Amino acid sequence: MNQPLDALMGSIRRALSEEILPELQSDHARSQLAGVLDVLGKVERMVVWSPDVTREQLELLEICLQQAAARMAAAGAVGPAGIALASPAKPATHAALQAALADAERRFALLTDWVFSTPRNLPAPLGEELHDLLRTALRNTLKAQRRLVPGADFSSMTAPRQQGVAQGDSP
Amino acid sequence: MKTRFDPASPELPARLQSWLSRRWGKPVVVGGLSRFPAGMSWVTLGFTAMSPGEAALELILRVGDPGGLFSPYSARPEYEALAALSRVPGLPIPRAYEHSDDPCILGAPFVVTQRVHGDTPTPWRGADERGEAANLSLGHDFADALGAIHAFDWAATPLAAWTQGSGGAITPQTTALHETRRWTRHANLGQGPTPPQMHYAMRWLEAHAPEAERITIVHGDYRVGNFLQHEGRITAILDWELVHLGDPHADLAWAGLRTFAGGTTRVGGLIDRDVFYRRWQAKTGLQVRHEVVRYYEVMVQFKMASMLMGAMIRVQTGRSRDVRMAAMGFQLTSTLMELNKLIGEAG
Repeated sequence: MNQPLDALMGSIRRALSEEILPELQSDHARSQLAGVLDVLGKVERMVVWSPDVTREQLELLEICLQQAAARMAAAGAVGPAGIALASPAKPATHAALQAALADAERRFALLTDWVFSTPRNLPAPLGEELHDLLRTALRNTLKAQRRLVPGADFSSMTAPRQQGVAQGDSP
Repeated sequence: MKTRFDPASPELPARLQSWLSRRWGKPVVVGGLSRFPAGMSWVTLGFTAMSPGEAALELILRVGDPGGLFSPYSARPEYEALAALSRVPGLPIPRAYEHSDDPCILGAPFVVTQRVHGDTPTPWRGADERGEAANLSLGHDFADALGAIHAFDWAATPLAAWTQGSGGAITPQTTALHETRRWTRHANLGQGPTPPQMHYAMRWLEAHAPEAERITIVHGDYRVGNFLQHEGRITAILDWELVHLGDPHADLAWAGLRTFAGGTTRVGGLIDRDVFYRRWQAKTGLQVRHEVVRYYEVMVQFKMASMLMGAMIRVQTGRSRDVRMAAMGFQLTSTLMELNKLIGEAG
């Protein structure tokens, strides 16, 4: 789940025009500015929100679904229909790639629902194997995505001007 | 007439002054209204209220900004919780003076409380700089205050009405499911973009929901960063906007999140976990159920991810003007990775 660049830039423009400009001398304006700087510092790296990562995530999910279908078949279990594609799509455009990932995520959710709703009907090792498969695929897709995302500096966004002397409430 | 809340509006002091004068039945002059930084939810402003012949009151105005992280808001839970808990001797909380959910007054729900002095340790740094003695005394206060909140008998207070939750009665059997559904809704799961890890976690939480041993007040955001301290003692537990009735293990798990540990293995960077638990047990008379803590560690990580998703949604839909919410969205992936790890550990 990535953030659209246009939405990000819009939020920055709004913060600049509606939050920072009117209050530039205040602590709040300074905290907003810290947030703007934090995001702007990341925008350069966002251009590498390339199809490569989406494609990698798609492949990880498709492999997981294929393996899950194979294990269920080997164990004689009847899982949800159509979770594994006979021949996974090779999307050529960014939009097609996004659509393919969304479809893979939909089938992944179907399998997730199934493994949680029917555990008593599964042979014992199969349920554990499927959960391991799902969690491993999830972890690996997140690892792929995290390569693009640096951390945020919330400390500078929430700290008062002078550390240790602020008084009052804090949300 | 409904008005839009604007913390920088020159009309705000006059509106507040007029309302307080009516409420208190005497002239009130509001002065020194100034906004605090920090926080991405309620807008917090300090001010003084002066009446003829009386000492000035130093007060806090917290307003539930419609663009805030958990909007739409009601000021009532925070007010009722603070009012009820004011009966607990020694519990460091600000006195609650007033509240209203009427948007005609300031444009958004708000609560007026006592202003308590102290500084706010942040969860991201400072554990080492404070020194061992300060960390220990803060940690003891932190555990004891939470124990006092959880030991409070709310049944004979207005909080008893909270058991009739919007999604059904809150009981020991349903509280975990209520929490799961609450944060599922907040993240708009199933209605909007739904990360597969969130979907998996939602099902896991539903499948493993434990029965609560006792339904208590749950602060909902009990952590370092949400209290004031002075010279190593907690002077006020703050930020009650997520207060509700539920399983106290939810607060134990939230307080103990690695995110709030300042890079240490201690709870909040303050106190060893076993000491924290021992003091909490002594205050509550309950035993920490470690398997339930593990469940709620998953729950609160799910909640954290839901908050981040909620922030992203607010930015993308233009509901929030706070650019820091965009920055929050960048944390979602690492939060989901931690969620994946915690589910694996919980089994």
